[in-house]
Amino acid sequence: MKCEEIRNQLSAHECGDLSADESRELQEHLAECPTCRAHLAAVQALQAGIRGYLREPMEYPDVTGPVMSLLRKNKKPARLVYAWVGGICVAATIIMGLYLHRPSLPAKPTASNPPVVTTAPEKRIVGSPRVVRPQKPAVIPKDQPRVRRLPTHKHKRPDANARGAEPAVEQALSSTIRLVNIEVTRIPADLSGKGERTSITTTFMVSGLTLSHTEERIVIPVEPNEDAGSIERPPLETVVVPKQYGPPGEG
Amino acid sequence: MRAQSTSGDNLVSDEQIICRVLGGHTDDFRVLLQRYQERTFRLAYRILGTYDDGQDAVQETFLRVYQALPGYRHEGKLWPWIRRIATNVCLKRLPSEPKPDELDDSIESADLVETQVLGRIELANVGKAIGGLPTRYRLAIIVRYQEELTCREIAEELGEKVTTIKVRLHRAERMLAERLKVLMNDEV
Repeated sequence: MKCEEIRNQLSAHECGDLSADESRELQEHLAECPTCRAHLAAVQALQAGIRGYLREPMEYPDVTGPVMSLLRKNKKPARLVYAWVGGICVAATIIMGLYLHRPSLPAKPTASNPPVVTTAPEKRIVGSPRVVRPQKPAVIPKDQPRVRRLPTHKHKRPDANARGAEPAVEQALSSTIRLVNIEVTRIPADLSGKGERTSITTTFMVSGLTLSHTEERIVIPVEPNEDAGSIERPPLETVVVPKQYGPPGEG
Repeated sequence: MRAQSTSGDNLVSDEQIICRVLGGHTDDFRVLLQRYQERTFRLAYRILGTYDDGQDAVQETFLRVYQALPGYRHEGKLWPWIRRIATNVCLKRLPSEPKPDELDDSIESADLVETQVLGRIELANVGKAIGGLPTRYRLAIIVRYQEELTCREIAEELGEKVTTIKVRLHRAERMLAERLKVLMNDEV
């Protein structure tokens, strides 16, 4: 190894940054080269001077008061702030879901507007241990009107253009949490199609956690002279459609 | 003014204090401040060069540390994490300098032996010489000799290659020797 290469490595050697082979080669050269040994002594003196200066005791300002004062204005550590934001977003999401998918009373069936009966998929409802399972529909006599089945109403995301206020709300939410999915399931709550059972499952991510909230609402309109307690609730898939509500031509 | 910490505070680990701060005990952050503000100021002062700038940088550093505490991973000691934040704060406060070609070794530098000043170095001159170095060389010298980091550790901290740091340190020392020589000649 040439003297110039050795001198370029003297500093790294003093700092212990050379490999074992490099260090051994350097030591062998130093044993034979007085000029490089003089350079090594100079490097050692310079490094001692640098360390001496950088390690001099020095006065330092106590910034405890100003920093703590600024921190108290923040009040909450960041993690608690995130929790607050997350909580507010959860509440906002639930309220938004309920508002957008609030149950509406079915229109009075007519011949041209037959009642719609939908079936619910197997679904476990959070907060309720029971499992709603689809049941086999009762046998419907041939003289009964044909039942029209529609697929379960599901939303992956709410329609952003459905209501004027929703895009702004969603945009505000997306800046803090990520809304993963809103699933809405509507099934008839009553044999006659007067009520509606709405299940809203909202899934979102807050700080890497996936959270889900399911809320179920059942709305059954009660007519003035009707005894609500006497309403019989058949199995969900059992459909009996009064003849007068059937499709045209079958009544 | 020197900050004093109680002996009781020293019995509590950094991790315990961080957990308490994250749990809502904001005032416990004071213990971390008192533990690390001296080292932070020393680093900031050496990089920035003035007392006031160093003080401002320390305040900003600890505000950032506080904000970043939820993301702190308890994998090592706290000081390297604070030092990295402090270094970034200081570098942002410095005017940007053109990036030199560090592999270009054509800069005139003093022969360490020829300077003949290294045996009678005055610390004040070392301070002036370090303060006159370009930022990247000054920073390399500070973290190497004040923080006693190896070239590999410096490379990791600054996001550079180990070879680059070795060359940078070597050149920084040669530039220091040159500046010391000039300073000593001026005195004479």
